[in-house]
Amino acid sequence: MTAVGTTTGRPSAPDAPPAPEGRPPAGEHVAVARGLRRRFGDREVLAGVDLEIRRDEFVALLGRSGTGKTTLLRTLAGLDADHEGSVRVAAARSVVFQEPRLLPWRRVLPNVVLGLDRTPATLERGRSALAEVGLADHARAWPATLSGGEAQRVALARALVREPALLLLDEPFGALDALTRQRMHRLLRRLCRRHQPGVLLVTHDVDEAITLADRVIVLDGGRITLDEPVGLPHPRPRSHDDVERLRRRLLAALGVDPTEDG
Amino acid sequence: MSAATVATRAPAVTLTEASAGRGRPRRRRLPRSVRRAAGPLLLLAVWQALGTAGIVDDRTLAPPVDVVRAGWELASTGELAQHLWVSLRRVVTGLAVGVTAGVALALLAGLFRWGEDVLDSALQVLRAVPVLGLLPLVIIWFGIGEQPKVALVAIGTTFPVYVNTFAAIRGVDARLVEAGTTFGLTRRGLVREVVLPGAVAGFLVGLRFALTAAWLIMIVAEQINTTSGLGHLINEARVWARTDVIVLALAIYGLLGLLTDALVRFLERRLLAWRRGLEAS
Repeated sequence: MTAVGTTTGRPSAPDAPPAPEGRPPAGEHVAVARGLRRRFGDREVLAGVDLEIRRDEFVALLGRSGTGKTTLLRTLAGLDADHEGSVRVAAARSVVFQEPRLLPWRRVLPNVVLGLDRTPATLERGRSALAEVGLADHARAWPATLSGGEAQRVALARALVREPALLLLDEPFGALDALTRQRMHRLLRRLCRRHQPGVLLVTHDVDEAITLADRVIVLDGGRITLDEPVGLPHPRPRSHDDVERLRRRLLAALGVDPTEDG
Repeated sequence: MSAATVATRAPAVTLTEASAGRGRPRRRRLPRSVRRAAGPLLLLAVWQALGTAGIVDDRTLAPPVDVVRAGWELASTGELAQHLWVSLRRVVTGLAVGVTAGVALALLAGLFRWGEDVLDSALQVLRAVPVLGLLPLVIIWFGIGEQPKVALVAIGTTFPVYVNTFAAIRGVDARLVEAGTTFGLTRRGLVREVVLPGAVAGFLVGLRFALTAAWLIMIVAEQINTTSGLGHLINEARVWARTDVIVLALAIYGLLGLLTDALVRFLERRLLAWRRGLEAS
């Protein structure tokens, strides 16, 4: 595992490839879990999970509620130390939670660069991260004045300004309306192409997973029951036969019979 | 399901204006501020009338005009300003000590587990003791000068500040703390960026309680063994049955209470601007 500490600035032009120095090259692992177990009381939420995420790979983690998706993500985020098994992750990692979790008493820009130094260069990086999510004008706004979608975009900017090698997304669009969610999907795909982090997206939305992921994992009963690449070109409309077949397979893995009506 | 089985016809629907009844012509009315002032003014008028008519005599309750006259006399000799200044200085000194102590204790108990274990239970017990009940003890400890009054205010204001600030520190959103951790904030950083700013609102609630308590304590403390201050003015007036001076002093206490409340509201507007998303000027 490469320790990913320092990053040397962001690409100067919007479409330039990201600066490779100090970051693990594409294809290298940014997260490796072996025999990961976690129990809450008598309940074993994770019952031996093996998972690898490579840099430049977008992994969607599906599962019904209570199957340990969020626990797995929190473990990778370093927010849960109470597990068995080995978990190694890139030092440069960021999280976007289901709620924006912005500090209400800090304006937008200080929220974006929270925990970083306050040098002019860092603030400038924060501003361009805001510009990337389309909120350049909101740097001095209070979080309370933002809409749900805007606040989540700030949270995304806060995650990306750290140039993470591993980006952890915990149902980040779950609370957004359908239209805003579609816009966020497009934004997220664009940003991931540019910054190329390894991504783990926890979601319960099969269509969201298909739209975004290079690889889909289904977690059930604390184990990974499905793990397969999505080798489909973008965009992936549901009218496409391969997309529909994948969708049915995923729903079946989640215990939903897609042919059953009501 | 088939609709053919439903034989009855739906009743006819009449549409009316959605805002019917709300659009009635407005009568010309007095401005709201004038209407709101009417109540207190009426009260003053009745009070004055009762005095002028001799139904309530001066020794029971002096009418408003006499109170204003007494205020004018005391103000012109400089006596009022002097007593006011003494009271104000006592309250401010006591508050400074009490608020500082309350915040310091809340920080120790709120940020350190050992602090909570050592301090919180003790403070919760002491909090149950009515402050004014300490008056005889405080006189024994500090004598009859300025110190017992300041000490009482300090003690009485420590607790509301402590209780509310401590609760606010502990009530800071754990999800924000967690987010701060993932973005690399150290413990110091978490306290500075998340915990303390999140506790400001609770502190201000405590401060408001403390200000109310401070004046209340001062009213009682100043009526015992004093030769200066608003409480002394009241006490002296009682001896000569000058109800006009008593009412005057009470009115001044009331005004000071309003003033300190306005001060907290000002602080809230400045420190909690983010709540309403206003530009802090």
